[in-house]
Amino acid sequence: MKKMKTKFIRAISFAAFAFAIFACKDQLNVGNPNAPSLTTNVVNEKGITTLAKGVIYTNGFQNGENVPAFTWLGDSYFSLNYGYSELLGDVIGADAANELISVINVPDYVILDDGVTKIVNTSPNIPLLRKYNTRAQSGAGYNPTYFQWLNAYAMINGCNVVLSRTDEIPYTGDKVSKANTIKAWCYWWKGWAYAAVGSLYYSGLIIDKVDPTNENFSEGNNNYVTHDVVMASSDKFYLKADSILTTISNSADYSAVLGSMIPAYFQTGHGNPPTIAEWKRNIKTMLARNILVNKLSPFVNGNLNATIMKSSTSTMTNADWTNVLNLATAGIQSSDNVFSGVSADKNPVFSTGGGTVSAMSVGTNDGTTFKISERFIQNFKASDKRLTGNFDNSLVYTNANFGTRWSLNDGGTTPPPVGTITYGNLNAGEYECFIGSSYEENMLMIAEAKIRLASNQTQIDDGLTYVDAVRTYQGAGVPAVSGTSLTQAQALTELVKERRVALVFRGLSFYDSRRWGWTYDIASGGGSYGNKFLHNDGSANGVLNTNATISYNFLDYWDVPADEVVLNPPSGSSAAVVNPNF
Amino acid sequence: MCFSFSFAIGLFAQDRVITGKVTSKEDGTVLPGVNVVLKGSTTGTVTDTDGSYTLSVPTDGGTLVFSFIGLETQETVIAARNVIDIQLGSDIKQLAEVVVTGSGVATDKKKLGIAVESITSDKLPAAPTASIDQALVGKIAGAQISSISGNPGDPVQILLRGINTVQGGTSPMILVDGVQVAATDLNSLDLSNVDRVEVVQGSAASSIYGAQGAKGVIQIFSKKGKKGKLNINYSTSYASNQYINVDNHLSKANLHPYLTDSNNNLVDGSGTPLTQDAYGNYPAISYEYGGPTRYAIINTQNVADKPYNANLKYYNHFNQVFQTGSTTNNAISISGSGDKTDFSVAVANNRTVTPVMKNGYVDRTNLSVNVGTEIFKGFTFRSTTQLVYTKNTMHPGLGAAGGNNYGYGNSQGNVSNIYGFLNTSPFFDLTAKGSDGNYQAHTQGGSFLGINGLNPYYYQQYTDGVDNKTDIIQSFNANYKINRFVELDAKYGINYRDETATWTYFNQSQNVNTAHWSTGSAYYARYNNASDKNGEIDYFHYTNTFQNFLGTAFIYTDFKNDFHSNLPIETSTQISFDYRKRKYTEVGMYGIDLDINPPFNLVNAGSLSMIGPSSLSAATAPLGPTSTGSYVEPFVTYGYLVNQKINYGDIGGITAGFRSDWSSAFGGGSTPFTFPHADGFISASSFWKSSKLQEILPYFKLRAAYGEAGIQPGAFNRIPVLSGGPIGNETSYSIRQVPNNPHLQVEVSKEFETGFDFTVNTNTNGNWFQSVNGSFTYWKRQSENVISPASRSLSTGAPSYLTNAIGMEGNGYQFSLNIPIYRSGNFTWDFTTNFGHQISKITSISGGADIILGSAAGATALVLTPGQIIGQIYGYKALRSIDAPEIVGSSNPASQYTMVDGRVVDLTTKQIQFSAIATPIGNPNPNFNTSFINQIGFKDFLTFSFQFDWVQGSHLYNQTKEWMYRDGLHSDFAKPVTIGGETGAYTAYWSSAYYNLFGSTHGSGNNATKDFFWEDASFVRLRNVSVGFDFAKFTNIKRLRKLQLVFTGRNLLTFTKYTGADPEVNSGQANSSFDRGVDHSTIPNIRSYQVGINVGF
Repeated sequence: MKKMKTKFIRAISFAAFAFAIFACKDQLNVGNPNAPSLTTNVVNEKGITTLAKGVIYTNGFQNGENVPAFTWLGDSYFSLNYGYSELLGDVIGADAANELISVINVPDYVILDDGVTKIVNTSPNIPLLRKYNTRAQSGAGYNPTYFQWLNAYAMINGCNVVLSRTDEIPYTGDKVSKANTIKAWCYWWKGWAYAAVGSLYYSGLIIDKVDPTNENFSEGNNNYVTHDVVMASSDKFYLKADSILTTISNSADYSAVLGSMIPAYFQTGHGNPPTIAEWKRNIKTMLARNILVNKLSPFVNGNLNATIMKSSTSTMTNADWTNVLNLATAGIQSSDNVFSGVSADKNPVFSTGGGTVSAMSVGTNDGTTFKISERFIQNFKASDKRLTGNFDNSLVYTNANFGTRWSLNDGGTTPPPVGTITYGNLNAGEYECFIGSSYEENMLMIAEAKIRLASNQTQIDDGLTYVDAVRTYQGAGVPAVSGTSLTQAQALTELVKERRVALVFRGLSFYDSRRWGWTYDIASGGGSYGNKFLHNDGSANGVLNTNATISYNFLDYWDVPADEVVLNPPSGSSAAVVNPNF
Repeated sequence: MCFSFSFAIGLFAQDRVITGKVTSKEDGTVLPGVNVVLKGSTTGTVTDTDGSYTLSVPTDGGTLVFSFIGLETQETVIAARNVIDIQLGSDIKQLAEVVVTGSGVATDKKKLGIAVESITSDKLPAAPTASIDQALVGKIAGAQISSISGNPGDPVQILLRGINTVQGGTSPMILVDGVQVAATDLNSLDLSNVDRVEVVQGSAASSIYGAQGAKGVIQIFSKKGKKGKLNINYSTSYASNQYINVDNHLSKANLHPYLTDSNNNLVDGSGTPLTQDAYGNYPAISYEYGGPTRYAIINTQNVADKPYNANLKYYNHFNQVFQTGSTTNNAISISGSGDKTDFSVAVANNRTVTPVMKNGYVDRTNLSVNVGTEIFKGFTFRSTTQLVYTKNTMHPGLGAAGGNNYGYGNSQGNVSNIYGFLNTSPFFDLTAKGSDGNYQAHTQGGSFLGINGLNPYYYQQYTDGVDNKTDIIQSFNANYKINRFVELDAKYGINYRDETATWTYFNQSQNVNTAHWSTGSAYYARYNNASDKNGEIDYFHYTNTFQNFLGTAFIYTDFKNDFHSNLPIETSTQISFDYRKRKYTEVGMYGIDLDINPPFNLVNAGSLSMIGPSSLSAATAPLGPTSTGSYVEPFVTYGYLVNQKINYGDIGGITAGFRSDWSSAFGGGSTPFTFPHADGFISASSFWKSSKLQEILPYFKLRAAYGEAGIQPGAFNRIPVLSGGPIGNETSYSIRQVPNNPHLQVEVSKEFETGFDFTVNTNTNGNWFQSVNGSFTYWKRQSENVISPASRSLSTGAPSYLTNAIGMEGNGYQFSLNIPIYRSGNFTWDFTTNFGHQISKITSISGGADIILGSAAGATALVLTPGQIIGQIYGYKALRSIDAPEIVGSSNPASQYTMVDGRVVDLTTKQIQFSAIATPIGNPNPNFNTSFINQIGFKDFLTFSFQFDWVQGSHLYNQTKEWMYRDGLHSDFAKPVTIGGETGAYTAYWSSAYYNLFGSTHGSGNNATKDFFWEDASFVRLRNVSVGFDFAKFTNIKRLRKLQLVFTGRNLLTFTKYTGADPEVNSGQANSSFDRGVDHSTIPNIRSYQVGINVGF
C-alpha cells in the first residue's frame, strides 16, 4: 500500500509538472492561422499584387470588408454609390427606404402639365442629407454621405500601403518594370479615388503617407481642402501614372503584373488588361472627365447660355472645353481595353443580382429595388432599338414621386436585337460595369466640346458625328443627326439625351444633371423642363404628364460625412466641411 | 458528503423493539447515518445503509428524535407503534451548506465572505426542455436568466450582476464538478443528473478564476451514488407545447380598407372582383381611396372596417404556422455505493417537436457515468463522464441549428422565415398550393402589399435541415489527503464537441410562383450562396475541444490541535495551477445548382465552394471568427492562484489572495495580468450566542469582499492581419476595416460586494411563519479596458479599430428570503423569493467619440455614450404636446393638431407627429427581477409547487409590429381611433407610426426607430406549477420507493402590457451585452402542459 501511495503522488506531481511545462509561453504565440498579414504575406511579388488587387476591388468597391454594422443596399460601390448618382440624375427611382434611396432623389417640387398643380416635397434633399449626416445614422446605414467617402479613402489608404512596400519586393524579371507597373496601378487608382471625393464632396483630405506607427494605415491630417484642390490631386496622380507608364520597358513583365492585379474573371471584353498605350489613353479620358464633370455647362430648358446663380463651382470656359477636347481626342479608342468588370456568382466584386444599379433595376417594376424613371426613357427616340430591345411597358408602377410605366428586361427582349447593347443581364459575366471611363463617354465628351465650341453648322455637324458614332456603336438603329441642320441648342439636346441613355448606370448621371444646371433650384436658374411625369392621382395607373417642370434643388457638392468631421475636426485653416453655398 | 456518527448505546431496560426506515422527503432516497434517539435518554442508534434502524425502547414508548445535519429534526411519539417510518426534509434554517465555487476550499456557507447562491436539484423544476438553463430561470437571486426564444434548442440569456463587457457577451463560465466546460452548451447537459448548482455572480466572488471570472461562474455538481441500497429511478413525461401569444396581441387585422363592391367582394379599379393569378397574387387589389399603390395607405379616407367575407377570406396565419408541438422525456438512473466505491449511471432522452408546423425536432440523449473510489486511505479517484448526442432536424429558416459561426456557441437557431409570414397579407392561405401542386413562396398583393412576405410552408417543402452534435464531457479527479495538513488535488477535464449541420435548399426552378417572383429579387429559399432558384446545400462542420487541468495543494492548520494554542484559529492555504486550452474549428462548404431529383448532396451539386466571409453573421464579426470556410482558433491560458484563509472559530474570518494569468489573447503575449482579492466575514450572532437575542436572531453574518477578475480578448484580437477574402477564384488581401490591436489588454472588472445572511425566529413554537432566512448583497463594480471597436477617421483607411475603449460601472443589490410559511406534521408550505436589481453604465470612451453599434430596432443605430446606460436605444419620440418646438412655427396649432392617445396628431393628414431629431428613447434593462416560489407538501404523498417570475421595467422595441405596420397588416389597423371628433380605423393614423417623421409624411420615416414601438415589457409570469401524487405510499409493492404522477405546467399565465406575443423574448444575439431590447420576429416561449411519472426502487 505504501508503495502504491508513493506512485500516485508521483503520478500527480508528474502530471502537474508536465502541464506546467506544456503551458510554457511558446504556446501563447498562437498567431492567426486563418489570415494573411503584411509581414508574412506581402513579402514577394505574389503577395504585393494580391494586396494591390484587394485594396482596390475589396476595400474600394465592396462594402468595406463586409463590416456588419453598416447595412448596405446591394453589395458594391456600383450598386450604392453609383446608385445615388443614378437616383439623383433621375434615371431611376426607388421605393425601399434603405440608405434613404426612396427620398434622396425627391425634387423640391414638380409642376404638372397644367402649370398650376405643384407637388411639394416636405422633406427636401438638402435638409434631409444634413439631418442624416450623423455618425449614428451612418451606423444605421442612413447617411448617404458616408459611403463614397469610406470607399474612396479605403482605396487611397490601400494604395498608400502598397506604394510603401513596392520597392522592397524581390521581383523576378525586370524589377523596375514590375515595380513601376504596380506604382502606375496605385497612382491611377489614387487619381480615381480623389476624383470620387472631389467630384462629390465640397471638400476633402489629401492623404498620401503611411502611418509610421501602424503600417496598415495612412497618416491622417485635418487640413481639409476644397473640391478643386482634391481634383487637382486626382489630376496629379493620373499624370504620375501616365509618366511612370512611359518608363516601363518590359511589356511582358508589365502585362504579367497588371494581369495579376485585375481579377481574372474581369478580363473579358473591354475588361482585358490595357496595353501601356491604351492605359495612357484611359488616363487622358479621365483627365477630361475631371474637368467636365466638375464645372457647370448649364443647359436649362434648351438655353445654351443659362446661368446658375448659386453653385459651388464655376462655369466651363472655352479654354476648359478646348482642354476637354484635346484630352478626349487623345483618349479611349473603340478597340481599347478599359477598366471595367463583370458580375460573378462566386466571390464577386459585385454580384449578379445586387452588385450594380443595372442588376437592381432588372425585372418587372413591381419587384425591383430600382425602377426605371420616365425621365430616363423620354430621352430615347421611339425607334431606338436600345429602348425597344430592353424595356417593356406592360405594368404601371404608381408612386407619389416616380411612378413609371417601364420595366427593364433581363438580357433584353426575347430575342434581344442583334448588335444592340443590353442594359441589364442577371447572368453571371454578362453585364459589363464600367469602373473607369469608356469609349462612349470619351466620344460624347468630344461631341459636347465640339458642339459647345462650334461657331458654324459644319462644326455642329462635326460634333454630332460623334453622337451618331456612339449610337451606331451601341446599336441604336436610329437615323444620323449629323447633317440634319440642327441648331447648336438642338445639337446639344441630342448630345444630352445621348449621354443620358448611353452612359446610364455608370455613376455619371448626377454629375451630368448637376453640370447642366438641372439639379439646381429653379429660383437659382436651374430646373428641368418638359418632362414626362406619371402623376399619382389615386387612379389605377396615374396620369401621364408630358410637360412637367421639376425643381430638384439638390445639394451640388455634399458635406463631408460626420464620421470624418467628428473624429477628425478641421484645422483652423481648413476649407469648409459643410457646403457653405446651401 | 456522508457523515457518519457513532455513539454509545445506553444500558437501560428495553422492552420493545421499534424498526423503521428513514427516507428523504425531497426525493425518497434512503438516508443512512441518521441519528435516532429516544428523547430524554441516551438511548439511540443510527440508520444503516438502507436507512433502516432498529431500536429498543421502554414499553411505555416515549418520543423518538430523528436528526441529521442539513435535515430538519423530527420528533414523533412512539405510542403503540412498532414500525415507524420517517421522512426528513432538508432544513433551510440550518444553512449548513458547504460550497466550493468561488471559495476554492470547500467551505461552510456560514464561513464565507462572499455571496454564493446555491440550489439543490429538488428545487429545480422539471422544465419540459429538461435543460439546466431553463430550470434555473428565477432561481438565482440577482441573476437575470431569461428565456429569450421558444425555438427548441435555443440558449437562455444569462446575465449575472450587470454588464461589464461589450464584445464578449454576458455568458458566465460554466464548471461541471470543478472543471470548466467550454465546448458544450449549458442546455445540452442533463438536468436529471444534476445534484446541485452553485452560482457566484461577480468579480469579488469569482476573482479566483482570474482572467475568465469577471462574468461570474455557474458550477454544476452531478449526481453521485449515495450510500445505501441500489437506487433505480425511472421517469417519463409528455408535454404539449404551444407558443405564447399574450392576449392574442400578435395578430393580423381582420378588417380591411381595400376597394370593394356592394357585395363586399374586393374589386379592382374597374369594379371587377379580384381573382388570384397563376402566381398566387391578387395583382389588381386597390385601396378604396388612393388607388393600387403603397402610399394610398396614408390617404386619410381609408378606413379598415370591412370584413373578409366575400371573395377574399381571412386566414389566421398564426394557427397555420404555430401549431402544437410536443416534448417527451425519459430518464433512468441507477446508483449505489459500497464502502469504498460509489457509482451513478444515468441515461436520459429529451425529444422536442417544434410547434412551427412541426417541421422538425431536437432529440437529445445523455449518458452520464460518475464513479468514485477510494484507492487507499485518503486517496480517492473519481471519473465523471457525460456523453451527449443531439440531433436537430428543423429546417433552415424555421429554427434549424447551423450557419456561420454557429459552433462558436451562443447562437440561436435560424428562424429568419418567421418574419416572412408575419409580413404576408392575411387574405392569402399559406397552406394553399399553386396550380403546379407546390406551395407558393411569395404572395404579394398588387405591387405593394406584403412585399416582405415569404411562406414558411414553401420553406418546409423546399428545404431540409439536419444537425448532429456529439458532446463528450469527461473529467478525472485524483484527491489525496496526505495527512490533516496537506491535501493534493488534481483535476483534468476534456470537453469535446463535434457538430455537423447540413442545410439543403432544393431546386425550386419548377415552382411556377418562384419562377415568376424571383426575377430581380430573391423570393426563393436559399441561405445566401445561391444567386438563383436552383438550390444550394450548405455544410458546416464545427469542432470544439477544451481541456482544463487544475492542480491544487491545500495546506490546513488548526491552531488548537496542531500548535496547542488556545486560539480557535483555522487556516487553509490554496495554491493552484490552472491550464486551459481551447481549439475551435469550423469548415463551411456549399454547393449550388442542385438537380431536381435526388440524391441531394454536395457531390451532386453543380459547383462546390467554401463558404466565404461574405456570408459572415453580423453580430460576432469582427470578434468571433472572421473568415469562415475553413477556420481554426486556438486559445491557451494558464495561471496560478494563491489563496489564504484564516478563520477565527465561528466568529469571523478573512481570505486574501491573488491570481496571475497568462493568455494567448493578451497583448504582448507573454505578460501576465494579476487579479487580487480579499474578503471577510463576522458572524455577529456568535457574540450573542447564549443571550436572549439568540432565540430571535440565531444567525447573523456580515460579509464583504473585494476582487478583480478579467474577461479575455477575442482569440486573435491582438494579431494584426489582412483580410484574405477571395475574389472570383483567386486570393486577394485587403486592409481590415476593424483592425486588430497588438497592445490589447485584458478587460478588468473591479468589484466590491457586501451583505449579510440571517435567520430570524419569528414564531418558533407555532406552525405559521416560524422563521425568516435571508441573504442580502449589495455590489458595486468598475470595469476598465473594455474592448470594443472604436471609431477612427475614415480618411486613414478604416472606420474603426479595436481597442480597450470603454470604461463602465455598475451597481445593484439582490436578496433572497426563505420563509417556512406553515409547518405541521402533515402539511408544509415553504416560500422563497429572489430579487435582483442592477444597472450598468458607460463611464468613458477613449477618444471621447460615441461608439456606434448595429441594432435591429428600427433604422437607428445603437450608440454607446459616456453617462448612458448600456443598451440605450435611440430614436424619434412622438410629440406629446401641441407646444412641442416642432410645431411652434405653425400658424394655428390648435386647428392643425389634436391629441390622440397622448400623441400629437395632424388633423389634416391624421398622422402621428414625431420629433425631427433622434434622441435616446430608453434602455431595455429591467429595474428589477424577482421571483416567488412556493412549495407545498401534504403528508408524504402530495406535493404542489408554483413559481411566479416578475420582471419590472424591462423594455422591448416591438420591431415585429413596426414591420407589420408597413403594409397595414397588424391587427392595430382594425382598431378605430377618434381624431378631432371623427372615429374610424384610419390607415393614415396607424401607418404614420411606420412612415412619418416630422416634415416627411413618408420616406425618411420608413421604419425609423420610434418610441411608438418602444414598449414596457414588464411581466409577471406563472413560470411553473406542478402537482405530484406519490402512489407508492398507498401500495405495498416491495421495494417500490416512489410512484409519483406529476402534472406540470410551464409559462401558463403571463400578465403584461406589452403588445407583442411574449415580453420575455429578445431577437438580439443571445447574451449580447448591448443588443438586448428588440423583438424582431422572435419565436415566443412555449406554454407547456406536462404529465410525468417518476418511479423509484
